[in-house]
Amino acid sequence: MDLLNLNPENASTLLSWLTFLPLIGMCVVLMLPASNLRAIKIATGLFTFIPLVLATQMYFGTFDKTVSGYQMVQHFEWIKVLGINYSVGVDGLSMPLLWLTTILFFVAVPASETVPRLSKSYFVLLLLLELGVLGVFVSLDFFLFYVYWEVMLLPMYFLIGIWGGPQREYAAIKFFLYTLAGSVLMLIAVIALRLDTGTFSIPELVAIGKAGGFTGPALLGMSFTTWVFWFLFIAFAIKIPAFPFHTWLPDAHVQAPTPISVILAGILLKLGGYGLLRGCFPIVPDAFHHFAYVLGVLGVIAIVYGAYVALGQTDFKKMVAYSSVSHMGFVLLGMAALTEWGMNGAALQMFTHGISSAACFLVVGVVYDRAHHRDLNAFGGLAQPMPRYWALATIAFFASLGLPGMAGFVSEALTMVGAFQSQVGWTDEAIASGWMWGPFQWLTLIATIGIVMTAAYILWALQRVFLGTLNEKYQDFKDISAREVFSLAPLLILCIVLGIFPWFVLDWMEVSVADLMQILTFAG
Amino acid sequence: MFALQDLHLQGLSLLSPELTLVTTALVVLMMDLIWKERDSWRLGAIGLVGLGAAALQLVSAHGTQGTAFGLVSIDNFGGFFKLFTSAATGVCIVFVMLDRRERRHRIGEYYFLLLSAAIGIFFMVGTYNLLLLVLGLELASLASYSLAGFHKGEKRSAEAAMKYVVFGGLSAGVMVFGISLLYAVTGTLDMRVMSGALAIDPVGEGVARSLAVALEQSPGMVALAMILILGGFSFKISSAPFHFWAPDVYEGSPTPVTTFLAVASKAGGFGALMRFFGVLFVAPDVGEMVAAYRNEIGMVLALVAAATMTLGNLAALRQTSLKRMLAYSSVAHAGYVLVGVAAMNQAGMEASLFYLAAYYFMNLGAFGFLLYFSGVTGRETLESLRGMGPKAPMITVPMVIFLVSLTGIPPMVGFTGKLQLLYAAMGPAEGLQLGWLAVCLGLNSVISLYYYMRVVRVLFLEDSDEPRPEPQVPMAVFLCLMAFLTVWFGLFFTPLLDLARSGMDLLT
Amino acid sequence: MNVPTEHLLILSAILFAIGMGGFLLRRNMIVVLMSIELMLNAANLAFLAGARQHAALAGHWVAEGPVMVTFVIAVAAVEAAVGLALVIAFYRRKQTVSLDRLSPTGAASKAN
Repeated sequence: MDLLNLNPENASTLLSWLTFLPLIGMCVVLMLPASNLRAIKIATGLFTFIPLVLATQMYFGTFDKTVSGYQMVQHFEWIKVLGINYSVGVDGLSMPLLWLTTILFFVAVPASETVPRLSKSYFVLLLLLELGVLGVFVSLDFFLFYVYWEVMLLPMYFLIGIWGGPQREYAAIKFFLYTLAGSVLMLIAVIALRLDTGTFSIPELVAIGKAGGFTGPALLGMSFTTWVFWFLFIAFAIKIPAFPFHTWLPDAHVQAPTPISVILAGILLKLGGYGLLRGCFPIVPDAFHHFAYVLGVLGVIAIVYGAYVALGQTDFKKMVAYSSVSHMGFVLLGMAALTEWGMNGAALQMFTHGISSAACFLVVGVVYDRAHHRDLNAFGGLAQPMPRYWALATIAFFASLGLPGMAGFVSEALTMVGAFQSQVGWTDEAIASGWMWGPFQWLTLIATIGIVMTAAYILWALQRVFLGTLNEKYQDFKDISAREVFSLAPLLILCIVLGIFPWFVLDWMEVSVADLMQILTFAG
Repeated sequence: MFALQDLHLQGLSLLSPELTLVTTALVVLMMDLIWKERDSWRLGAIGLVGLGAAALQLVSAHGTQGTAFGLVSIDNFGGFFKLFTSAATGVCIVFVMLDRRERRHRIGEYYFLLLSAAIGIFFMVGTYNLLLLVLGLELASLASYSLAGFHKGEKRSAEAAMKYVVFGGLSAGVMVFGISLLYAVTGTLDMRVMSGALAIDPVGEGVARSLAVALEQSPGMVALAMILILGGFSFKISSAPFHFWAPDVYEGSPTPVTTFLAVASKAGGFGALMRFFGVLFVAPDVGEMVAAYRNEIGMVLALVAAATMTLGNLAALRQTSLKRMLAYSSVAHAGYVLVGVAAMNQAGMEASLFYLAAYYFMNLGAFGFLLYFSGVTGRETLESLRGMGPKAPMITVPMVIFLVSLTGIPPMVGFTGKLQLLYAAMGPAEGLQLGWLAVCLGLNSVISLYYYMRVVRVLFLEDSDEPRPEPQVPMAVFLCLMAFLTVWFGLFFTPLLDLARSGMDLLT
Repeated sequence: MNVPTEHLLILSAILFAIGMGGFLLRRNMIVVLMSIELMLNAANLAFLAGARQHAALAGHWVAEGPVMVTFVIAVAAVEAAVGLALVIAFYRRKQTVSLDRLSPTGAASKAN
């Protein structure tokens, strides 16, 4: 129990309030008449704003970034017979993502204005989705974690399936099937862990894993921890999405309405990375060690392959979607490197990509709302009628590209340095001979190709959309509206601020990442 | 031989739920002859009162152990299934009362037959004696045959009844032959004598041998008997290889009857099956010989479970009729429940009971939805539901919850049920490795998602110009209640766990 | 009285197999119902064979087996009654008692 840091002054119901505020909002929205869409929007805005205020207060106030372990813990028995607890808390890994979640959901409400066929149920589902996401980030009990994880599925299915593009039904069911397949693997792994150790508690599982306390049987020549590792890894990798489980993502992104794309890219993908850091690597660190290079390879494949495919896209949104695959590859590469820099980079990359990709999708949404298509080759010269939009779009895409001074740069640089320092796969003889070179050094080199390609497709896309001769059809496009700026501005400000002062997130994560690294390297 | 003093009142008082039901059934039959009404809600009300009284007696008798007349055993395990049956039959009666298609018929016999089938199930799940088990099973089956063909003017209904009686007869023949072989080798019809739990033959001073002895003397006969008996049960629970009748019969029968067959009758089959295999193989004092045999039975059951769920789900993928899809889905769910039985331990049996309880809420809800829409549109195709989602949210939103629960996604009760089953399949086993079955169960959940979500897609993701369906308040209330319970027990399932656990007095 | 129990059991197995064969091969519903009766009677024979052997071992008859047989006979009669009633209902609609006129098992119905 002391693993949860359960002393009285640490206990708090704040996280439960934060998680269930969207649920209260949902009930309020349900009671409003369906005809009064304005009131519904205001209520949804309010009930995404209150969590944002609360999370901001926690981020800068309540949360003590110098303390290791979980904070604001709440813990009580839920299903006593099965040893299932309601146990929530945050540490430096979840706190920034929690904050990001509340920001993005708040931003998504004004961005929903242009969604066709908008209705009450849209906002109900949006709030339900927020409940699920916040819940995953605060859960410290695997059962609770799993429940929240699955709570997200249904709202997402409807949000894509009802309010999406022409092929929304296909995209929605593909998303659902992929994620459920992963969830089933996770569930099996969780039950195996529970049967082996008698607990669902993540901190306890981490402690047992650290002590090498798993006694489960080997099956088909693979040890128990290896099975658990792969089952959990695939479950989370589908969500990231890591190569080769990424194929649901372009469909889901292209078909989803703009605000849902924003949430999908900004937060839902981070759940995969967060899940790996919270519920996979620290529980089975030895298996993680053993397969770190595989993860690194998968990460680099995602980086290069995602960028390569993005280069070939003519659909603006699909390009951004593949850029997400590419950028999330850095997360995997940074984690797999098993260095402090890499791990910090990966954790920061989750945050920065959450902001920059969300901003990119908003930018795409702005032009789509006016032109009703997203064909990159059909635009041109949009900088003339829409100069302010051009400026904002450039910031968003440069942040995504990783231009120095922008958010993406710091995290990608950290990741690359971390990966280059990695000693994974170094043989003793190689170290003795002073040949400081191993698989990760190669991988880092290959990853730079991805970075170059990223610059290429982003600059090329900006050029095709904003520069060149103006298409006659588009000359009376209105410039970006106040509402659109209102959605974009917080994200762009964060992009720049984090580019200059990355420690606004790094400092928060530092202690927890150090703890995590200690667990991971200790096992090696 | 029975002594006359065995027939005293104590035995009768133990049988009070059964007697209540018998009385109710007879009263319904008589009042039907006296009132001569079409679409009589009064008869339904009598049936409901009788079932309610029986359920109350069952609840108050919870924890009582006893044997009436040496044949009917009163225990929590049987109580669970009897309670389940009365609750499910009650819902079926409500469905008959709400079924718009039944307005034309004299439906007194309908209630009578439903109650008779329930009585059959009561005896089937409440006895250790194979004779009474067969009689109960036959009573339930015979009533069900007639129910399936209740709309005798309708082609589908007549065909359904015909198929049902033919395959039902076959399974009865197979099962009784299996029992006769078992009798030939053990010399008793009492499961507890076979298992060695009862040393003295309660019926007489025969030469009964326990199963362990029989296994030693003629293992082939025992194996054959077990397979034949399993075949008989397999029909009742619609598991592979005797599942193929189910979709046709379920589709052809009137929807309330389909509901009865898919929920009450199936659960009754499971009750008898679990008692049979539980007492013979799982109970703690079965002895070494039988324990060695247990793993083989478990493996057979596991294969049956895997085949059932996979066949059911794959077939459900192709269906265009909601009713037929739900029929295949209920076949698949029989496979899920069997996972718990296949684990051949207490945790597994508990999980199966839990899953059946979960199945009650979500499946009754789904069938209620079907009944409502087939009443409104006169059709049972998925197509006829197009765009109905937003037009009748009080009916369709609960349906989404049922479908999600049937898929096994939290926070619904179907998920906690699957959790228990996975838990049982992956749990500690002596020589029985069912990890593959857990993976199979998981994969099947993913397959099933596809066809369950097709219903949701048709309801919510597609548009149509069909008018708003005419509301039916009692059905909406019922569906909302079931949906609420589906979620509530998904989050706080301790009561269901306790209920399932209390049923494990079977194994002591 | 010297017929060994094994022979009786083998005979009952043969009867059961004939019943099963008839069920699987014949298309006439009445013959199919008769096959089911045959299977039940095979079971009855096995019950009596068992009962006789146990009686021989115990030195006196035990009621259980013969009682079961009486009940199975009753069950078989009721099943035949219900089955034939349904056959008649079917015959009135279709003017045939052939199982082939049932729509094939497992076919997805697109008619409704």
